[in-house]
Amino acid sequence: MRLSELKKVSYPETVAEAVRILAEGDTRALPLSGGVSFVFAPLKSVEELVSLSRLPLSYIKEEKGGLRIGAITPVADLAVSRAAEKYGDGVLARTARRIGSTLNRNLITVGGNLVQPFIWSDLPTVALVLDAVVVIQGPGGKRTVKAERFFARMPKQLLKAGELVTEVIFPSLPKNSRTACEQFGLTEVDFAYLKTAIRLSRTGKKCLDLAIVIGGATILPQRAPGAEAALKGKTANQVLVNEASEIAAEEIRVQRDIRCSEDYKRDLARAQVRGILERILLDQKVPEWKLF
Amino acid sequence: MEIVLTINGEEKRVDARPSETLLDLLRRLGYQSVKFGCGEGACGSCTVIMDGRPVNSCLVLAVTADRRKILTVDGLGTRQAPHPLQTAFVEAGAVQCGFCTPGMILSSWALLEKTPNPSEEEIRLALDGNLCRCTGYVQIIEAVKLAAGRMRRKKKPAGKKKKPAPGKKKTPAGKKGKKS
Repeated sequence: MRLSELKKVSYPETVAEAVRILAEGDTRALPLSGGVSFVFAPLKSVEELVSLSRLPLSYIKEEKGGLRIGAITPVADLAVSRAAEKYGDGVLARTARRIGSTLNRNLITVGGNLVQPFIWSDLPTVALVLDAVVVIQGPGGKRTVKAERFFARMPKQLLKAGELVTEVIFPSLPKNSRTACEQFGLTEVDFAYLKTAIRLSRTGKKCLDLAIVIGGATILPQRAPGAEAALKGKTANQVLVNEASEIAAEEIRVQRDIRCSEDYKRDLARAQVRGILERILLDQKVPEWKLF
Repeated sequence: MEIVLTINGEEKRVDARPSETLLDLLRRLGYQSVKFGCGEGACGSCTVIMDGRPVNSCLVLAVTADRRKILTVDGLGTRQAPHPLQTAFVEAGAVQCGFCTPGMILSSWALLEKTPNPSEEEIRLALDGNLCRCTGYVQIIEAVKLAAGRMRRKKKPAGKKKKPAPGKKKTPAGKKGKKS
């Protein structure tokens, strides 16, 4: 790693100060949260690093509108947060616990995991399924972006000069909603081959609303709109669930992965979508996928 | 670039090179107990405690660690007065080649600071980022349990001694509690 152009590191203590420094630095200044991805793949041309570590953005707040999580909150905090455990059937806390190791989780931040996604990143998949809202602050003030738009392309492209992600809001979920996420990897600390997250609300077995998101097939998580349409507004049964999982497996884009074939990933998607739906929509006692 | 670090309780002004990781810097400063293993946050040999949390120092850019408090295993105990964790690792046979030991001890220390009486699952979770290529995990977990017990007993406030109820025999010293 060579940062031959690096001349300065700033430690702003307020968001306004960080925004000002980033705006002045233009593309030569780079905000750094946990910094893990930067150490892996540093931008050699960067002249100024703006460490966000002193900003008051490490918090998890449970409010009426949902869960507000500061951008520099370590995912280790999310993993043990009672508020996160209570939210969305605990899918957020469980996902955080699956990120890397304890040592990694102390460095990786919630904001960083969302802004700089990799094919193995875990939070983007659940942020998309839970309809999270990303709060961005910049020279022009504050704006919010829904996860669907945030992950439509690499999130960094969405950020204008001087802008930075300050918070993620996970909106309150209706009482009749269920959420689940599963992933498959060879070991507990392995990068998942594929992960699926589903959120739905239902009356009896009638599916009122749902989101099916597949992660790990491409860098950015993707919805499975065809599979969602196959179930939305319908009274679910095994045939419909099988059909939806089939559609999901066929409609997702799959990026090349040296560890397995494209077909294998589609098979995983099919099995994960079906398994989750059988559990949270048909109330079958399907064991959650075990690793190995 | 000059940064200020508090290493094992001692404040130091150090010149950090732009591309240097915290691991490289600490080793350059002589803290050889912080080991270079994988260099990519997978093995935990380079574990240090940064502001109370165990982290991979190979994933921290040194210039971004200004004003951080760093604890290495050197700051825990000395040869003459080892930390209970260090003693327990020796006694439980948890040290084989020793390369992973500093990281193991620091991760265990961070766990016991927060959770003085951890379950085996909590110990395993706390050590999930520290790999031992000699595969001596059973002894390592035993060592953490052993140290946890000793540290709890040490921390217990020396409260007022209960007077034995009238008519009851005094328990002879050293015969209290469970036998193990």
